[in-house]
Amino acid sequence: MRRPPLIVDGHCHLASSRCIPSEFFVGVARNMARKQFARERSGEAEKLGRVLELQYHDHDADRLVRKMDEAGIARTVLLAPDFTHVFKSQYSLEDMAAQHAAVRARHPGRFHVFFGVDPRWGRSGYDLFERVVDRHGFEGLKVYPPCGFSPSDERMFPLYEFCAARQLPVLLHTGPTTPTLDFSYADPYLIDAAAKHFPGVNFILAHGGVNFVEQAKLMCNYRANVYLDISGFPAAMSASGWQQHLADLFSQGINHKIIFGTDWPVFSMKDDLAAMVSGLLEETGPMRSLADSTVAAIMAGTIGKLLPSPSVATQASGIGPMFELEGEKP
Amino acid sequence: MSAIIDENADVEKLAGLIRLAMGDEPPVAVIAAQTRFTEDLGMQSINRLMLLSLLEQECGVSLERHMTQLVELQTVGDTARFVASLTAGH
Ligand SMILES: [Zn+2]
Repeated sequence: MRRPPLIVDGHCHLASSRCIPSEFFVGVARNMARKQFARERSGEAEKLGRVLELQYHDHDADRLVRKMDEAGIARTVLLAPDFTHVFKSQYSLEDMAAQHAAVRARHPGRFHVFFGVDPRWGRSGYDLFERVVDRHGFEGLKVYPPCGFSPSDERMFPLYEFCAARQLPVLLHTGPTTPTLDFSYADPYLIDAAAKHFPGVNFILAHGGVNFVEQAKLMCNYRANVYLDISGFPAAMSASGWQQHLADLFSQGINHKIIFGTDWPVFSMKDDLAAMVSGLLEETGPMRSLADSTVAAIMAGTIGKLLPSPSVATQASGIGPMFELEGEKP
Repeated sequence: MSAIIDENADVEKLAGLIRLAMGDEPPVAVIAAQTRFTEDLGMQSINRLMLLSLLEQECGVSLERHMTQLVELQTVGDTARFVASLTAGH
């Protein structure tokens, strides 16, 4: 197996039920149960959703760090999407920020955090995002359009403007998700207006190498500031298997835009981190015909370049938003 | 000797639960101690979830307390041994 000098997982989550509301798990379980039973059986989705949720008890990331060590992953980007606008949550966004900050402090040098705020929180969401960047050193914005908004919704613009000023990347979910959310906002093309308006912000299409791949590829090829990640690759829907699917993706001239990611713990019951990494890097794997420098870029280099340099990210702001924030108007 | 007989019985019991958890999937002929859930049985996430739920229901395993260990177990034998060790402890 060819190992690049450094591996950084560009898309991962804390396996913590405090960050993901029950309704998310129940939706996932309801869809999974259809593989087993043609008709909905009363209570089954709730029952399986609870079993799923019980697997998300790694609140301090000790287990995740063990898995990263097994897989040879040096650092990981933790994504913390904001579901609190659409799902009832026992824990607030502030709690989630504090938890991610505590994880970073517990495992120094192992984690970057991209934090999410739903644009419909308006001014208070903006202030919270600014605060977590300043106080905790979070290094990017996570956007979750299936919560019910376009990533080019103008209510996002103040946040993008802030990201431009601080050189923070923006990572947005694309493709289907739990059926309790809205798939119609999950199309990669929806980022186009924002990407055009904010050429100084780098946008990463999460799962772009797996979902809506044709659109994601075109966006990456023709919009200088759009990238994609391959997270979720073991589940790529492809008749020839995920290895061939990725080999095809790697042969299209956009490797400088492709970022390795696992989406752990979503697939951890089937494919562990170490198995995912070795599946990618093995002699006969999808990266077999790539130059060492290309493998190094996909596995770490490109995400490394998109992360802010520490001096810029922690700069005192002093830059008020140019766009009008909801809740600001009288 | 009796330990081996017990272990076979534990594997047999677990094999029954696995068949239930596999639902309409093509039935697996042989389930032995060394059989692996993913590679040999082709169990998908839904089947693993069903199996965990059955372990709770039929064997009284507390998922609240033991989920972390349970999800790490990859073979039928390891899982049967782990479940037996919990029952022995009570
Ligand atoms: Zn994800």
